[in-house]
Amino acid sequence: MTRKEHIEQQVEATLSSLNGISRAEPAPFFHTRLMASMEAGRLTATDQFARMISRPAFAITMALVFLLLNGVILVGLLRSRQGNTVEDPAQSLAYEYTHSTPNNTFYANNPEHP
Amino acid sequence: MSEQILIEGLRRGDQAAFTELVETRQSLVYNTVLGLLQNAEDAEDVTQEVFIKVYESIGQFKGESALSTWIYRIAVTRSLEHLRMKKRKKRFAFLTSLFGENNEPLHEPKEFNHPGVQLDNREKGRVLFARIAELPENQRIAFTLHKVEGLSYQEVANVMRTSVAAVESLIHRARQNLRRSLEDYYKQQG
Repeated sequence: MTRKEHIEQQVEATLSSLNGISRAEPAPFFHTRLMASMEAGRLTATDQFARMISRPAFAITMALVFLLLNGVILVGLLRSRQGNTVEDPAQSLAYEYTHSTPNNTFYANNPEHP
Repeated sequence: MSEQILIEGLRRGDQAAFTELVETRQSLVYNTVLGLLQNAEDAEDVTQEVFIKVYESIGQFKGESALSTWIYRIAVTRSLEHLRMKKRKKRFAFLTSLFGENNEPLHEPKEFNHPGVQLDNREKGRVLFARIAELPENQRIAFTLHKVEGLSYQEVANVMRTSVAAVESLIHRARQNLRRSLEDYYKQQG
């Protein structure tokens, strides 16, 4: 047998080495380990969330955020009130009545006129 | 438990249905993942991830394919993601070693012995799996599903969402590449 034939033979044998291969099985109690992993994953996520919201730094930060928001809204409201040009209607009418120039001049100059 | 009843149970979050799924499909998943990853520890981890994914995503299973086909797809996808992640880690480790941050040698892949290979074929099986790991991704998937998991061309086509002709072509090209690689290997062996 030549070297080339020998190599070809080995190549063919290697390519056929998976013939009759059987399925590999996971290690025993795979289901138990899987359930443990799933439980650990679930606990980790919930636990992390609980830990986060119970930390003082988180609570203080949230309190400051709420205060800041309240402050921004309050300042906004105050500014809108100061810039408000709408007057009380009764006051507006009184102002017009007392400061209306033609009427005042007439009665002032004609006291006998009712 | 019939497949339809199993799926309904899984959708309800029924523990008994999930146990049934794991016990009847764990070999299918593990063998597929092991064939692709060629590492028993990684295969155990990824097999767990596959079942967790099945549990979380059963609501998205539309029943257009068989449940096993869907599970094979998840197994292949997760295995490829794992391989890519390992590659990225290797590259990063190489870069840090260049900058002198990590003096540990790069981890060399262990030789892989598939436990299902017959005893007198172990040595050749090891050589073959090393060459399979060097195949292009799609050829590797098709070859592994067909030769290691024993799926027919039609079943492989269903998993890979392609045609039977495409699978035939992939496996043919895989064989050609493996043959070439093995010839070089045995020539070097002398």
